[in-house]
Amino acid sequence: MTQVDFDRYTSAVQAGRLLRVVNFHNTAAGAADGLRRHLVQLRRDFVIAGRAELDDLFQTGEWHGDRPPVLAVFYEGYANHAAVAAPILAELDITAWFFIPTVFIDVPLADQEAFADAHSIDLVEEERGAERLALTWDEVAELAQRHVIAAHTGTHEQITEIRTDEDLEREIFGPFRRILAATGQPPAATAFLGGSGLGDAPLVDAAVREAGYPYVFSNSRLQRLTSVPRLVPAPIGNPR
Amino acid sequence: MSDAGAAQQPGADLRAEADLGPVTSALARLKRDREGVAMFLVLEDLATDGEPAAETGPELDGPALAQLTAQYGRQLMQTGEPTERQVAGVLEVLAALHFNGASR
Repeated sequence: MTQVDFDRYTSAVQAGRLLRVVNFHNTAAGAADGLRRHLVQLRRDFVIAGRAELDDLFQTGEWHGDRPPVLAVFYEGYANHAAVAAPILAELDITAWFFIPTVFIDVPLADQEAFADAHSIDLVEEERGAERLALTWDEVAELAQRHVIAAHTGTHEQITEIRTDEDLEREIFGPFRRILAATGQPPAATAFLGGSGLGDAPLVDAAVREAGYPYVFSNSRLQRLTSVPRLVPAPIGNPR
Repeated sequence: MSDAGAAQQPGADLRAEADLGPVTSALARLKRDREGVAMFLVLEDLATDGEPAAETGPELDGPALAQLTAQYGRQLMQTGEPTERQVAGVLEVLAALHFNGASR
């Protein structure tokens, strides 16, 4: 993996150029109570931000909420995001971000477990053998009514494995079009398996920009790519 | 939310945890529950030729956060420039400490 300049991160922390994010993956039924408690806690201390709030933070350089922001992010496109997480989010009036490996959604039901195992999509024991593991496109469209939909490549791929035009189509351009077609809205962001950000793979960087993704989420950075006038996000204070 | 950290105030929490030791040890302690992992993401605006946003001064958790970042950074850099994943580990530790302090 490419090495990074740690001083950049130290400077960002000192400057308060940070955003809190909580990453979720599997939300199987057995984890529902814990998920609800977790989200209740988050909602108490933070504003759980959607796309408009993130855009506004970058655009104005100021956070306008009465509590600091946090993003609640759900990865992998699991069916349990619609069956378990979404009702809890609705109950708590929370807007979340869903990152979807779009090819997973298209995999026939009988092949989804094998696809998940082959593409680093972790499964919990209680769901092995389930009839369906991935969201359907109808569920994605329904999630999009209140949540933010983003791509997580097509096949849950690492940035370093995307090298050919075919790879770019499958992992970057295709997922953008697929989400747009299903939800009527372009994906708000993309993210890669392993959490790499832009900056080290010029071919991928160019494709992500060309496709039109506004944001890239990495393990350590949230990168905005859109060309609207840039203003500096202000430091974010502590929760009250 | 992770169960790391035990102090009452975010700043004090971070200072108290400044002796956690190697990042890997701290992470191992934090990863007992992998779901709902708190992270800090550094904000970068690449809309203008990849230039980073200008700095605006420390506010988030104050000097303790920056001090702990630098401390972990020194540990990481003992073996050379860190990878993004290693840096993410540092941010994950910081976030866990921050969230636990902040949520009390």
